[in-house]
Amino acid sequence: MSRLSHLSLNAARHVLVLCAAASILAACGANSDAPTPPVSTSPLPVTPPVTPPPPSPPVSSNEAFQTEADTSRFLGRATFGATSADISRLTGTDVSDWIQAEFAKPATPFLQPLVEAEPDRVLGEEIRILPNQFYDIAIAGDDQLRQRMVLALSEIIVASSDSGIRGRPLTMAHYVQVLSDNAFGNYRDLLEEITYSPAMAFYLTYMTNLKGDPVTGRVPDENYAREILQLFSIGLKELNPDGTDKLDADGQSIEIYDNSDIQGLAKVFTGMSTQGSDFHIIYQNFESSYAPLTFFPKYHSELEKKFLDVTIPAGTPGAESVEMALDGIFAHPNVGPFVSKQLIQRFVTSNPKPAYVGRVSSAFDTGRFSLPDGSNVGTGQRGDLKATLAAILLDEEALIDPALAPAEYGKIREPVMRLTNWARAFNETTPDASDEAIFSYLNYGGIEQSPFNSPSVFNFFRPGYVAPGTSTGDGGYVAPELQITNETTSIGYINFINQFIYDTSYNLSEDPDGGIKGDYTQALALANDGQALLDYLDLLLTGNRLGAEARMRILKMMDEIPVRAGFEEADKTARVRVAISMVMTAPGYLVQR
Amino acid sequence: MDRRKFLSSTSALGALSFAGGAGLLSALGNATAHAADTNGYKAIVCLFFFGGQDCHDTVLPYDQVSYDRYAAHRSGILAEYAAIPGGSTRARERLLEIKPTNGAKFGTRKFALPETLSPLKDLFDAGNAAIIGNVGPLIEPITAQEVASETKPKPKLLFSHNDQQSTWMASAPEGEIQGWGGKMADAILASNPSQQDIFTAISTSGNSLFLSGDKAKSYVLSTSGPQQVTGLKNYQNYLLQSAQDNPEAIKLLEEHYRDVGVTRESLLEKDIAGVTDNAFFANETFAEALEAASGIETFFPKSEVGQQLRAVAEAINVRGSLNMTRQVFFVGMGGFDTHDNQAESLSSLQPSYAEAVAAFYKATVEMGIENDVTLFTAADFGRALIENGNGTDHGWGGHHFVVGGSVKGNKIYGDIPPHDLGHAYDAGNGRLVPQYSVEQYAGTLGKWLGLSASEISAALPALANFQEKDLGFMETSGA
Repeated sequence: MSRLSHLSLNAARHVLVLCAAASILAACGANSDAPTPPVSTSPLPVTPPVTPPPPSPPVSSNEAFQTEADTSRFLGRATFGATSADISRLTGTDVSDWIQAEFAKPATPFLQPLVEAEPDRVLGEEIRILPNQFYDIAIAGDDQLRQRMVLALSEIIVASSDSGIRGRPLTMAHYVQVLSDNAFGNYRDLLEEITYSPAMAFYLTYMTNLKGDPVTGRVPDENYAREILQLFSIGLKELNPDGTDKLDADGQSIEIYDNSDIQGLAKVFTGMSTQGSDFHIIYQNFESSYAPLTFFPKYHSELEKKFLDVTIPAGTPGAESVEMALDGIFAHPNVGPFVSKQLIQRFVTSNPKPAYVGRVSSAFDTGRFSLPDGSNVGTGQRGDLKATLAAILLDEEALIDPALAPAEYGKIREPVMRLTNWARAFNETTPDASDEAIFSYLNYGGIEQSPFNSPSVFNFFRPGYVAPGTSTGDGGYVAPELQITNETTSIGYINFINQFIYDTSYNLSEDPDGGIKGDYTQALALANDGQALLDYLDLLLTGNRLGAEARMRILKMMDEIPVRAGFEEADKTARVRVAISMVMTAPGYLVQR
Repeated sequence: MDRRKFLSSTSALGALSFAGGAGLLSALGNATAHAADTNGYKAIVCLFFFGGQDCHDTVLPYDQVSYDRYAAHRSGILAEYAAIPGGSTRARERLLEIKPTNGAKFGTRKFALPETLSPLKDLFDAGNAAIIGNVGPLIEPITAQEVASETKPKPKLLFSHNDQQSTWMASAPEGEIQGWGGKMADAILASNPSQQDIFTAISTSGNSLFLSGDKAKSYVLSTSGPQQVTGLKNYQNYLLQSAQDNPEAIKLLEEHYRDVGVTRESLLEKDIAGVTDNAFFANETFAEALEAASGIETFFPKSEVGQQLRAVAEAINVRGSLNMTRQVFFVGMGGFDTHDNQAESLSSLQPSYAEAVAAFYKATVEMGIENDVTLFTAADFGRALIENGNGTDHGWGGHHFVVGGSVKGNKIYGDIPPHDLGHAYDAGNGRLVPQYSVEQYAGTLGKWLGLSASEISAALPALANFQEKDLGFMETSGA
């Protein structure tokens, strides 16, 4: 049963009319600067079903970069890791400048370098090639915020090389490029480009999906129809603008759709295949493996397609059907809170307060956010991701004094980011992850996480994961990253990070400078003084969140490793390695607060 | 109760508590009278088919009339089976007919397993495996007509993978934190305080909601064995570098990694520290037990599921030194979400698990405990009968296997609804409305495991809505 609100019902209908008209001229909203007509332009009288959340409060520019510790903590959330140089450079500056600069940076290309590489090489490395290239970009790339967003989006709109696409790295690279191209764009455009991406079509099995056949009883594949709703846009239950469940008169949450909606939407994603002359033969040429899909009208359902409160008339061609379907989905009021809350969970905290979600989804819905210096980001179109990201990173809850934060505040740092944190902290500017043997292991080196290699469309961990038998679980809080934290992976991580810290990881090239290496020059210069070394590491890696106990143990350890005359280099190296290992395994580091 | 503190205190006892065995620990336990029978040894092993195995392509119709109906609905998928080198394993003449001893209840309808499940068919024929037809999440008994008229409650968020996985494991959608395997383990622990809680529930497939109870929690075991920190108390303590011979430094590093003795205000810091501390203790204990044991000779397939079941067999093999009397295991296998290429996918998935299960059964025979270990299958859901080309979409009820020496095998329990549309349990497109609830399936296993009726009710509250509490597929324990 469909329960779209009056507002979105009208908006959806309005959008359908506009798009049907526009489709004669051009694809409506696709890949253009004029995306979906915003809800506010609707000429129909609309009654908002709920009071809109309060506008985002102004943020003082000093809060993000006020002290060196603030800067380090901010960079820990917004980038793949702080560096000493960035901490010095940014402290005392206005975060507005930083965020505008990040938005303006050119994107590091992901797909093109692979296209230009020898096809044999690309095919040969299969599923390793994407995470390896991504590790290199995350560690040394200049467009940190964009790439951070790519990883976050890849964990919400999931396609994975750990599937039938594993032999087609260019297909997956195209998907990563779509995430990158749209990371600062509009969520509606992103949904459309994803829908046309061969990787998603392969992963969620609508590649060459056939229209139904009344003779054999065959029906269209429902896979993508279900997951685009459940995982990529609106979820399963009606939400308030602050991300909490709407409740019915009996206090029960309200399911938005049932299987008949899925069957209706499934008809939209029929008749799509890779570019070429034959619908049934995918990847007819090299280029088609990384180009948007195309419709083959013969195989596209000509029936009426009904789902939620959207009705796509019988006979509507494929591209127009996709436009109308995505407009209908995007008009649902759940999209803002659904996407905003998950992005907050990827960047800042696992359990944001509803008011925080409300402020971010307000930025998502209005498409605008005011930076501390008074300048605006965002196009004013609903779904603007610059406005959304700025609202996430500069919210008062993101910048809360950790000493005053509630007990449930923060998030566990994702295992893949612990490596990038280390590499960036220790100035690796020429990483070559493809040279690291550790990434070729099935368990990705013991951490059970590898970019773009999720075990399923449900990501490595679920945003709603509640860990049994834990203090977060007992408190009714979610802890997504705890889903991949267990007796195997917790020790696996210690061994994983120590291989880098101690430089014992195996380089396939046998070049001692190959792979991913740390430069400990700065740390070694401080290593005579245990306290100074500790202060440096605590600031750099945790933003001074290490905690008294871990600090005490590290200092004690420094005493156990005296710097002896005649063995200065060895002893200082020992101190540095052990201290880094202790910092990077301390709960005060593992949890970003 | 603070689990970390409990574990820290037991680990502080160190080797003594294990050398001393049950006596010391049971003296520590505050033994109250509980009903669960924990004599001897028993274990249940859940083999979960992530993605939702297609029930219609697992138990197939064999009589000509039924087969023809099935073939008419599955022409696309059957064509793909026929295109696989070696020919179609779904051609009627190649199907392996099963002759359940209670087959008369199906009249002229006959059933078969595909060649791809041949090792399971052998177990079935030998009376060591049974098929439980059309099991799935239910609130109370319901027919397709009642589903359509919305006159009776049905489980929430049907057809959603994560929510139905959770519902199978824990009777509620995602967000639930206790599963019925864990609750059964709780009952066992309450009745047998001498049993270490940490090894009562073991998963070889990551953190498992199924195994999580109040006290019980899944111990996650890697197929490559229990993980230990490299370079600490091994490999010359190289993590300590120049302090590698300094016992203070070695102790300090371990205490740091385990975050020993720290009170934390951040809930997440507390939780992640707890997992690591637990890991140190449990992995070391488990590794010592494995080292002391003589291995299992049975050959296990190299497949992921084969290696997981090997790890379970090895854990069972050291039950004595770990002082285990009852255990619950969780093994998981992905790839069953066959929206596409179902013929190709099931042609490799089915032999993979069937061979692994047969090896596992053989290993229990080798250990002399085939009557004490029961493996059962589970999945997100079954799938629709109507195909979408060369695959199938999400369903609800499905058919499952139970394997072990105490299974009253060579029987089909419950119903295998016709491979057709419009019957009383067709929720549309041949998605089956379950006739047995997961609770009935689980309750039967719990009873065999030794739980009392009240403990079963506590683990499976919705069982109260069903008359038949024991589906009868297990030999009831003589004890």
